[in-house]
Amino acid sequence: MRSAVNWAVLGLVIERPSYGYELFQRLERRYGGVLDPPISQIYAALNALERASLIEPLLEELPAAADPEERLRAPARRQPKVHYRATASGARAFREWVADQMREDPRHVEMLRRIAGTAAAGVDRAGTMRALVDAYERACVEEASQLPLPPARDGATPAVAAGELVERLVLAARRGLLDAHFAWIAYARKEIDAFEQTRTGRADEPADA
Amino acid sequence: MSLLTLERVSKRFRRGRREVTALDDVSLAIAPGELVAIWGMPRSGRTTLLRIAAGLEQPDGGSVRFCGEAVRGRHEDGLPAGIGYMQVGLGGAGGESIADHVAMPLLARGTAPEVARARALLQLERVGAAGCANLQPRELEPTERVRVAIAQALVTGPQLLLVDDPTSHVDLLEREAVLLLVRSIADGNVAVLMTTGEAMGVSGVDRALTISGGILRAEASAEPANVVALHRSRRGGADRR
Repeated sequence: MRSAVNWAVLGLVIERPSYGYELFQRLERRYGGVLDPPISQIYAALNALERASLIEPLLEELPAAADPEERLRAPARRQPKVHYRATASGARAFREWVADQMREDPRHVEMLRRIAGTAAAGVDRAGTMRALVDAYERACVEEASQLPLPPARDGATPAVAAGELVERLVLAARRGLLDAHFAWIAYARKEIDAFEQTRTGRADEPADA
Repeated sequence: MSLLTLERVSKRFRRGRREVTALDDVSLAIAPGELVAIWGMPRSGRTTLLRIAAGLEQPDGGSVRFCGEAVRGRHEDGLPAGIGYMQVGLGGAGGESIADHVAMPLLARGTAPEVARARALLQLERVGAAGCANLQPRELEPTERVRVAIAQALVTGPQLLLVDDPTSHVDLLEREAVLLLVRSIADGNVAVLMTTGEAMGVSGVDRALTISGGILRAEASAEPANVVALHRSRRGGADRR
């Protein structure tokens, strides 16, 4: 399952059972500006998650219909809101997905692969590698500048609500990855400079201040 | 029109027999009310850039203009009128209160002591450090030190605030509050040029650049769509309370 919307919907259902329209609203509040799917995509996500047995439907409790037979007929009489809850395998899949997101950044691996390709190709290796690092840095600074700052804590009580805690931790994880990338970019530039200097035989390199 | 313009600025320092390039052909323009962050490692040239923008150092080449006028050599005491420069270490002898320290730039400009003190208290309140007014510098927590330094830089009512790496000595959980404070200053129509060494310092700014080896490199602007997204996430934050 590759759709970020599907995973976001699963995460919301794990937080608490919910139905289509409510999920649409909760997703907008939580991820608005980052993920803005139309409501049809929420229903598509629910179908995909249900097919994969990651969530299961709960029919709305109808007080008048205590009899199971009656409850089965109830949907015909009025439109029920189908609430979904996560299954055990849904919760497990979500945990694994979050861990995977934090563990690997495919962009970084792709970057290394391209640099290795350039080194193998030969022509003006240092110049081409430097251009790749520059492009990579642009992508990183763009991503960093687009991350929101977390909302301010309430002065006296630094504690935050559970939902907000998760948001803060996810943001911190993304920032941490970017910090690592920036450090790597600085390191890569120095390595490329050093590589070029050994080839051109210049001894005294310009240092920065 | 740009508030601050650096054009092809270069700066070299002598370190013993070696010459070190601090800035190499740096051009940058800041618009009124804009929040610009420059990400760089220590010794990347980021502090030299701020000091030259503030007129505290003279460039070897290129020009620096503030409100259309050359910053170079204009003021004997360094800071041109209209520019505030945030330095975390407060100078001055012991025994003076924080309010007195914050008022110092006004006193140096000949403002009457009671007026200077009243304005200092206002700025301390603006930065969320009203409770520090009667403390002494050595009694401050690292975050309070930053807030007080920002109050001191704001006390003369600048149009441009230069902020050098405000979060480096601040506790992890308090960094976002410092950055939100910087954001709110820019939202109050004071342009801010800030250096930072971490991705968080670049979050939510109007424009971000990187510097290394004295060269400005990558640049990213908040897209209109992103401004909407940030606005929405802020509104969402307010709704929850």
